[in-house]
Amino acid sequence: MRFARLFLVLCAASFGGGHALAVADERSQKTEEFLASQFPDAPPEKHALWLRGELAADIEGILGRPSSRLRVHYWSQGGRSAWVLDEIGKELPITAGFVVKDGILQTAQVLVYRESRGGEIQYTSFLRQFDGLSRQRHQLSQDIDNISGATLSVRSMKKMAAMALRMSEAVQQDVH
Amino acid sequence: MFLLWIALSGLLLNHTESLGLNGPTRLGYLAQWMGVSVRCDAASWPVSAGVLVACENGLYLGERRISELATLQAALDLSPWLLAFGDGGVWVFEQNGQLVDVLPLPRSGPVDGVLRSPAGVVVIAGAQAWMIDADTLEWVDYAGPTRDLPAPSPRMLDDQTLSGFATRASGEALNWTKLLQEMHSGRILTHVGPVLLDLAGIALILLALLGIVIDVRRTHPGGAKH
Repeated sequence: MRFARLFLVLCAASFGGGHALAVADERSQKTEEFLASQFPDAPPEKHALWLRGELAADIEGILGRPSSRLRVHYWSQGGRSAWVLDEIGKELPITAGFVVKDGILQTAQVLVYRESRGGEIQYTSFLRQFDGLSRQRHQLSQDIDNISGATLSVRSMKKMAAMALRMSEAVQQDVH
Repeated sequence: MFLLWIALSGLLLNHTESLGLNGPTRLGYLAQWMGVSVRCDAASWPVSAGVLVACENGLYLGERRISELATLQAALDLSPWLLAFGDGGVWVFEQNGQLVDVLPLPRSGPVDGVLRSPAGVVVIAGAQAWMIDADTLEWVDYAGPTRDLPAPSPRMLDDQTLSGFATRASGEALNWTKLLQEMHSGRILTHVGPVLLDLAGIALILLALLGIVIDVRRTHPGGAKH
């Protein structure tokens, strides 16, 4: 019984590797579905954005830590860019998709939610709050209502939304 | 002392995030003493920046944990990158261990071989072969010969080195929040700990009640006589 909880945590961690492939497959599948729903006429073009210099510093400001990856993929078509991002909620990563046009969020969706609690962030009533928002420095232009019991998940969604806006801004600066 | 123990650990627990105590303790020996045991793979993969070793809770470049990756099938250099194959994808790192990207394998299923070619790194799965382009870090079809291309090979770690990796990995597995929870509950002091802290808690309640009784007797000195 001694340190049983620690043992359980370690067991969960050790089995986690075995599920990684399934998790990766689910993420890929949900990403494809998200892109198909957001770009129904033709598949968007895939690009890669490197997080370096000022952009990396801004992303660090948004996340409160450096980005775990140096390169992020995105899709674009007709001036709209789509971003599929991952951020830890409480213990597990939340995968969310965002569509941005002219520095304004058009869509926010939770693609894969893995936490046991806080799933309310997947509801349309919550996600609708992101529509039409822009970025003000490291935050969104308007407050997002918190959900009791899902504070960390809400926080992660806000961070990812701000990240998507900052990165789409960087893409636009490169294009123009 | 136990009251102080409960109060301090409770305060720290409530503010782990703001105090930056949400990361690993890196106290390997303490973690192992507490029963946290992490196994590491004896097969290590030498790369130019050091050696890559997979443990249950992540991938280590030398002494540093650089990523989540529990199953390492192969690792090699693709200048200027380090590539680690595992869990359905290829983890691409800079030489300093910074994760660049994770490339999903071009098709799902097992990888039959990872080979070095003069042009890059070739992956064989089923009857097909692909290569990772070092400039774009994307998959490209590979139609060249594969028969004589060398494969990267692991180096087996000796028991002492393996034990060192396991200790470090245990320290990474024990985070501050978990340690503080174990302290706050008393479980860190084996099965006696919770009992001691229960007694301390009861003593705290009795002290509070006794304080109220003393205060009532002092403010109403005649009440007790009637």
